[in-house]
Amino acid sequence: MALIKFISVNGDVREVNADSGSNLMQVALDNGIDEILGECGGSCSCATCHCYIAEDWLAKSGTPDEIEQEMLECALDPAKNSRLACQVNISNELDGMVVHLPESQY
Amino acid sequence: MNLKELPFSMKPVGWFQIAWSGEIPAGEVKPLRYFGEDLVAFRGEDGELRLMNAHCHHMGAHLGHGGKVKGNCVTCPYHGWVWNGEGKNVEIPYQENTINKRIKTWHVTEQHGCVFMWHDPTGSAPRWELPHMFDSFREFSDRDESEFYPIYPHGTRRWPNEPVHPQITFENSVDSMHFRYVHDSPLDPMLLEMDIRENDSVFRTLFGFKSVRTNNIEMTFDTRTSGVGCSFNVFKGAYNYRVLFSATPIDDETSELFNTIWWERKDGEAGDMPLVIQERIKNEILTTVDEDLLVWRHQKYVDRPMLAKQDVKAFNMLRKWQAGFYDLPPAEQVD
Ligand code: FES
Ligand code: FES
Ligand SMILES: [Fe+2]
Repeated sequence: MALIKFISVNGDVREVNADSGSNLMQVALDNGIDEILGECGGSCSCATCHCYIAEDWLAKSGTPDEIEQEMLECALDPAKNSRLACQVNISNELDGMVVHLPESQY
Repeated sequence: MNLKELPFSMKPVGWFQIAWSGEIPAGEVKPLRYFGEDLVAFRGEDGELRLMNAHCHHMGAHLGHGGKVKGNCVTCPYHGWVWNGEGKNVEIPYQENTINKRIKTWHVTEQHGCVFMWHDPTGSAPRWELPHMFDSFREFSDRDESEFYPIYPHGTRRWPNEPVHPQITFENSVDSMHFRYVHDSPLDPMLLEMDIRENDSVFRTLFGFKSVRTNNIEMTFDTRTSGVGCSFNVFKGAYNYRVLFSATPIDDETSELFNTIWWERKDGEAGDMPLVIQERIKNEILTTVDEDLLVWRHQKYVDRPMLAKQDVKAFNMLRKWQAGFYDLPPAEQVD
C-alpha cells in the first residue's frame, strides 16, 4: 500500500491509496484522475498516461525501458521527469510519491 | 443541387432514418455511412440494435465489413478484438488487459420496423421523441398496425445517393401547388390546418383533396414532420395508407432518401402483401419521390423565394421552424 499525491496543473492535490502490484495508470483510473486516459490499457502503446514524477521520487519510480522512452517522445510536452504511468509499478517504497499531471494528453 | 451553396449545414440535430429493422436480423452487422461518419450497426443475440463508429481502435479495421456478432458484442474481423454496444473493448483474445479507449456510440430507436439514429453535433442525448406512425395519429385515424401489411420489404424503397438537402424535401409539406405539376394530381390539395407541436419538434399540416366528381373533400392527409429528418403522413378517406418519408445526410454533399408504405389490408386478410398490391405500390406509390427528385436534383436553393400569395404564411412559418435544428448549444444534463 502506498499513498500517492496527484497534483494537477491548477494546483489541486488529490491523495489516493494505491495497492502494491498495481500500476500508476490503473490507480489514476480507479480514482477518477481524469488527466490520465490510459487508452491502450497499459500496453505502453498510446502515451495517454503521461505524467511527471516529482524529482525526488524519480529514482524510486524506476527507469523507463527503451519502449517507454520511445513512446514518451510521442507525449505532449515531455520533460526529464516524464513517465508513462502504466509502466510505474506500485510498491510500498513509493508511499508518499508526488505525481504532477499534464494539462492534457493530446 | 449544390449543397455547398446552402445557408444551412448538413449537420442538423434530430432523428434520422438509417435502415429498416428487417435489414438487420439478430446476429448480423451492417456497415453504414451518415453525417460523414463510418458507422456499424449490429443486432445482438438479445435482439437489441446497437450503432457505433465503425473503426476498431486497434488498427482501424471496419467492424461492419466482416465483423461478427458474438453475444451482444461485435468481434473485429482483423485481430478478433471484441467490442460491446457501449463501445467498450471487452476482450482481446490473446492478452489479459483490454484497452480503455472507447468507440463512439449513437442512440438508435426502432419503431414499426424502421430504424432511426439521433444525430446531435454536441453529443447530447435525444432532446425529443420521434412521432409514432400509429400512436401519434390516434385522434386523426384510429387504426392499428395489424390492419396494415408488413412494410418490409415490399413497402420500402431507398434512394441511396442524392445531391439533396433533407430540409428542402420537407418543403413539400406546405407546398400545395407542386402536387399538380410534379405529381400530376388532378385537383389541388387545400391546406386546412397547420401548427407546431410536441415542444416545437413537430410541424403538422392537414391537407384535403376534393373529389373531381362531387367537389367534396374525399380524402385528407395529416403530415407530421419531425425536425429536418422525417415526415409521417397518414391518409384518410378514399385511401387509407400511411407513408414515412425520411432524408438523412450521408456527408456534406449527399443524402439518402427512404420511403415506407403501410398499405391497408383487405378485410380480415392475414399474411404477407399480395402480389398485385406489391406491384401497385412499386409502380404507383413508391415513384412519387422520383417525381420530386427530378426537381430537387437540379434545383438552386432560393433563400428568399418570390412566393405565391397563398403560400407565404406557411412557407415562412416552416422555414423559421426548420432553422431551429442547427447549431444548438449542448442540452442541459438532466439526471
Ligand atoms: S496506458 Fe497506454 S501507454 Fe500507458
Ligand atoms: S484492427 Fe480490430 S482487432 Fe485489430
Ligand atoms: Fe412531392
